[in-house]
Amino acid sequence: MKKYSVRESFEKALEIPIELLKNVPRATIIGDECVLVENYKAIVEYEKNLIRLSNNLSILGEDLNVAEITSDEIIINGKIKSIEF
Amino acid sequence: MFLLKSFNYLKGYIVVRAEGFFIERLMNLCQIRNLKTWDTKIWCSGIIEFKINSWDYERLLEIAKITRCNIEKINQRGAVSVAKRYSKRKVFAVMLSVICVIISLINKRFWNIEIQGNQDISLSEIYKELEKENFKKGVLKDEIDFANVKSNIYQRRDDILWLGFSVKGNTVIVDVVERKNPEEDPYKNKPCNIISEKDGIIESIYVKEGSANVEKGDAIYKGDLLVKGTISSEYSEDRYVSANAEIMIKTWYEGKVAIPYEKSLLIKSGNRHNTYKLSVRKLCDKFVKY
Repeated sequence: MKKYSVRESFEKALEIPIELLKNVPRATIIGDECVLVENYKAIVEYEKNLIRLSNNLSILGEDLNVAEITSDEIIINGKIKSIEF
Repeated sequence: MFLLKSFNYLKGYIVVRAEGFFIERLMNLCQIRNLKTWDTKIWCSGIIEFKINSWDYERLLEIAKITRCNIEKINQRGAVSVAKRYSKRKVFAVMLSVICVIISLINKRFWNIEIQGNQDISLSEIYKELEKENFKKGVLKDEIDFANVKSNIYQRRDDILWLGFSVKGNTVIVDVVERKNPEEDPYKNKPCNIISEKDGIIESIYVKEGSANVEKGDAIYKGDLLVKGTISSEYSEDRYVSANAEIMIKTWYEGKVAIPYEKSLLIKSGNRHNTYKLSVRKLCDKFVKY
């Protein structure tokens, strides 16, 4: 049985979404054309075939374009090949 | 986002191309400093294009200085740029406003009056009547109260029964209905009989004045006496009146029609004739649907 710390068990009881607790991005993939990433912090690399976000999440594909960008969310369009960490 | 974009078009936005090593830093700084950008495209590693609002442009230049990127204005769209373009064409703006003013002035008046429906009264008389009411060609639309005009003309002229005004754009169509006097009866005061003009059988007879000579179902010929103009009674002398009655007679009318001796008929000959047509729907059914 995994031992949870006090903080973790507290947060589990309240059922807050994980990405807010641990401060990690949440990615929603629609087909092979669209990725919506919430809670990203910054863009590290921006190329035609690769978009790297917040030092962990990177999206590989062809003809990638940033469709919408706000301070919380980013929507990436294009032919998506893989998502790596 | 679409509504935002349409508002942005009204207020004006700029299409910007940015070039440099630290493009990602530029984008991050834009988000941190709350500069809205949209429609980002990447041409190759290090060159991107995006759109921002016109009033954010100075802040973008600051950010570009920090990240050492080159910023270039490619296109400027929106109401502001349209106004700038037309500020060099003042004559155009002036003439446009002049034309609008002229059109609005023209549409405030009636330029044509058409009169319909008059038979006995002449056109010029009706025009004069309307002129007395200040209703001429070129009069302002607001100055005319149709109800007023109508009541005034009814009071003055006995022979106009009704006036109708209908407005079509800058024309007024005036409908005139005249008072028709009831037909004068030439035999009104002279004593006379009623004689039939046609042969037939009487269906009904209703006598208002005079005495009837015939009954329902009688066969009469042309020239027969139907209603006498005298009223005789036992108590007084004969009175002579102008006979007045409503009589319904069943009669007939003759006419002539020419029919040719020869007539042509169409008979099926048994020959065949082929026609070809192309129907799009039937062709489409043959294609595979994916």
